[in-house]
Amino acid sequence: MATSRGDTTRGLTAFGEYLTRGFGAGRRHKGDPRLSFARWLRELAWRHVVGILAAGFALFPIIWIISASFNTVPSLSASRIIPESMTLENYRSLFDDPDLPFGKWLFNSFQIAFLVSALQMLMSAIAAYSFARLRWAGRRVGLLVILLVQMFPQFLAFVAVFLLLNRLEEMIGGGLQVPMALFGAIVGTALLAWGFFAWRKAMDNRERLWPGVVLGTGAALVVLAVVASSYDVTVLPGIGLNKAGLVFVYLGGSIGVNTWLIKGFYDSIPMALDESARVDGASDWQIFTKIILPLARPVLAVIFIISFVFIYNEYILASFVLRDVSQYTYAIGLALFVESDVTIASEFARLAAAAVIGGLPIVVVYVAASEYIVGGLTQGAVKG
Amino acid sequence: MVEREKGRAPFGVLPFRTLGPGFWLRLFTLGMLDALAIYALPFLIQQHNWLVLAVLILGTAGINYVYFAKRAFPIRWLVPGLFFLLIMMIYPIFYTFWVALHNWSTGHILTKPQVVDLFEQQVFEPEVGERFSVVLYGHPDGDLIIRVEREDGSVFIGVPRSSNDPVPEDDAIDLIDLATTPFVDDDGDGVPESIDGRPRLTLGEVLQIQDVNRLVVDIPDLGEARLQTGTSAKLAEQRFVYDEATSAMLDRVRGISCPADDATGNFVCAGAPIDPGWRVVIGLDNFTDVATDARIREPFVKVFVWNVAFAVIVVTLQLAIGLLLAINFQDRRMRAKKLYRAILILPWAMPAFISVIVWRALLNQRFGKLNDLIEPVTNLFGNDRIPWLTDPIWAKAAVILVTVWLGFPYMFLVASGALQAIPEDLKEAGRVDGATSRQVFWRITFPLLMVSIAPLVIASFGFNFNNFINIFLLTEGGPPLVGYDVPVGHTDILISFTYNLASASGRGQNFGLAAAITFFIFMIVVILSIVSFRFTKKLEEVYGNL
Repeated sequence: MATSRGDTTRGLTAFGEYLTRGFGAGRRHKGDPRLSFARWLRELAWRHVVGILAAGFALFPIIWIISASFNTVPSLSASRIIPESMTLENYRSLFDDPDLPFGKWLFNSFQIAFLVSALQMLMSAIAAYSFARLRWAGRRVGLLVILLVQMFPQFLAFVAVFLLLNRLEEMIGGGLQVPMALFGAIVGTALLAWGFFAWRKAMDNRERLWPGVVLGTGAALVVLAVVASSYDVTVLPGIGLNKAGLVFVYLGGSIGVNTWLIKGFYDSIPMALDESARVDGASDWQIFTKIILPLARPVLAVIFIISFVFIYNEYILASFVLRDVSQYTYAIGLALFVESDVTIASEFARLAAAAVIGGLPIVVVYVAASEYIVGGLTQGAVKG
Repeated sequence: MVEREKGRAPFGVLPFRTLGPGFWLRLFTLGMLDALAIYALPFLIQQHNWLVLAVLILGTAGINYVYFAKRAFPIRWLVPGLFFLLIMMIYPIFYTFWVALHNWSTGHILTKPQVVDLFEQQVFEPEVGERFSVVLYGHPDGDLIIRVEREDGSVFIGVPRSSNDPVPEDDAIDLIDLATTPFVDDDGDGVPESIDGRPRLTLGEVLQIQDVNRLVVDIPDLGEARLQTGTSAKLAEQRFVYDEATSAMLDRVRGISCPADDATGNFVCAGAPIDPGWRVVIGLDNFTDVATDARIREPFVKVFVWNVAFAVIVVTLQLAIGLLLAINFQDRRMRAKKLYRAILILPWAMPAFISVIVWRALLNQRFGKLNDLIEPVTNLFGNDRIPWLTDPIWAKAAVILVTVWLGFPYMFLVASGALQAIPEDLKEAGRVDGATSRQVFWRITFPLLMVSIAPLVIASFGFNFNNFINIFLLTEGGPPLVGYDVPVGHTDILISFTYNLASASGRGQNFGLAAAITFFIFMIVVILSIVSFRFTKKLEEVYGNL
């Protein structure tokens, strides 16, 4: 594990440099003699033949969808590599079809993927600090558990996740009721009073922590109670078979893998940096935010990209959790297209336009950062 | 001095400046958490959900402890991640196993109390009993009100509902009171000719009403009066009565008692189980069924064999093509390598679900572009367009083709990296010792390459073993294998088979069996991970020796 982690780390560090400095342009090797044409034909031409064949194989579907997406005639049978007449209508029509709300799906996908990747990255980065820099009983066991858990792909538990969210929805789907608001008001006021007197009695700030928590709890309860009594709305985010539920599910998904990866990177940051900061009186939190986190930015960027694309691609859990068509992610929304071969054949141009819009942002990021993503993926899941 | 340290200082003088943002963050977050936890308490007590209640109390107390106690400092960093990891990763793993121990499937989804409730809501119209006379007002297409007169002369006028609608509580029933509602009774027989502007319907009009015998008028303290013809109604009575002591359901229509069979989770009436049933623990039956029940074992074995074959073939082809291309582009004199590379990684960079959906269109038998492209070749063999997605053999070929297309760039990238990492002096040493370039490749480069990419190849095998999207979005597992109780197709792999078992397809959901098969997949994944670890160790040894 250590060696490949080292590789990853090196790769990720290089990515950081690349992000800040940009590509060094590819150079011709100075020492190489100029090839004669005959020699080029003999030694290099076949390599280009193989390369062109492979490129053709790789590009075959991609060329078709790009050309079809501009085709005036929407059907599959009418699509040509170079369309007879071109239009942007296919793209425009994607966004005003109330039955297949592409814009909404795209938004949902980006919203969910962004929220999950960002939160997951943050939580993993914080957890990894404890594993890498603090010494505590159970640390080794904790690392082992993470290693074991990351073997289990979360989507395998889709049955359990579905039944769990279904249950959760039954339990809290109704939101906060008025009697609950009353209850909240009474308990909240009591807590406020208690917290207030405890605060007054406290000797110093250290002792004010728990009265503070009691005060905060009370205040929050009172606020919630007021909101719950004035409106007949759900105050709690209704976690169930919906987008909020899906985000909740995904958040647990790759924390283990990410923590493991980030810890590996933290380990490569010299301890001496922390020590000198600690001598200057920095707390752990300050060391983390001022020293470790800035240094780890490249690795965090890669992990963010990988998680983002992983969530963007996820199908099984999303299709079980999301019921309302307006809440669909792009992946399960686009799959509606292929429910029958008739729609595929007759609406190919729109399908193609949807594919281009949904694929382009990801492709751009992936191509730009491919070397570093390969390094990062080495540790966790593989795509392809 | 002592007095000042006691700190009766007003808020804000001494304390606030020295409190860091960490303090306020902790304060705010814990406050919100505790508030939500306290809010949930009455819900859970009301639902008698003691297990969740205990977990909630212990969890909240634990989190508060962690953020108060100094010795729990290292744990503070873990709590946010651990929270989600526990709820959405570790708990589902165990819950999957728990579900697999049940007969949790269509017809056995609910718990026993829920099933008893459902049965006790069922009603019937007894043969004997009071007959009401009924008059309808309004319009046949809707906006109906109904006047119901009992034998004792008491009258109820209400808005009907369909017998399919839920039963309202007694105090929610809103009857129309003639004392406050304008009505017309010109002939003075006590039956108005119109109520609130709605005319009385003739018998002909009544018969135009859709599902007229589905209409129900709720009467407080009595129950529901169900229309029978257009002119009469009967009081519906509760059909099933549950007897807690004997755990049996009395069917008042047939006059028999249906004892509960807690082994299968059904009430059994005269030897026949009645639906719905409830979920019960059936032990390891779901696991053993896979081995012993021929109707499950046969499709399972077919799916498993194809699954392994699929993963092996796909990874081998991906690796072969990727390696070939990597070697192809090794020559450093070659131009346009960056361009080739950018093009070649496109299939890998495209989100997989999009590529697969597009491929599905291109593989369409009649209009698909692949068939257009290879027409010159297929013309030689009888001008048949290839049924890529509908023929068992061709569908397998199509799935492999698309999966190889999606995955070869990754192998290409990995192999390129690994080739460059092999030290040049090793090859040089081989050449000095007189090896041909072929020998150098097969004896030095290739073994070293395999050692370094073996963990990735295994991981790729694991990924393709569960490559749900490619199968599901391309063929949906089809074409279907006929003759089995479970929905299964020729190209189904275990995960898509499981997905179909658990999703609401035509044959109902079977969560229990799906969970059991999931566990089987999990074991395979674990074995692969262990093998992968071994390879990684070996890798370290090899490089350690260099």
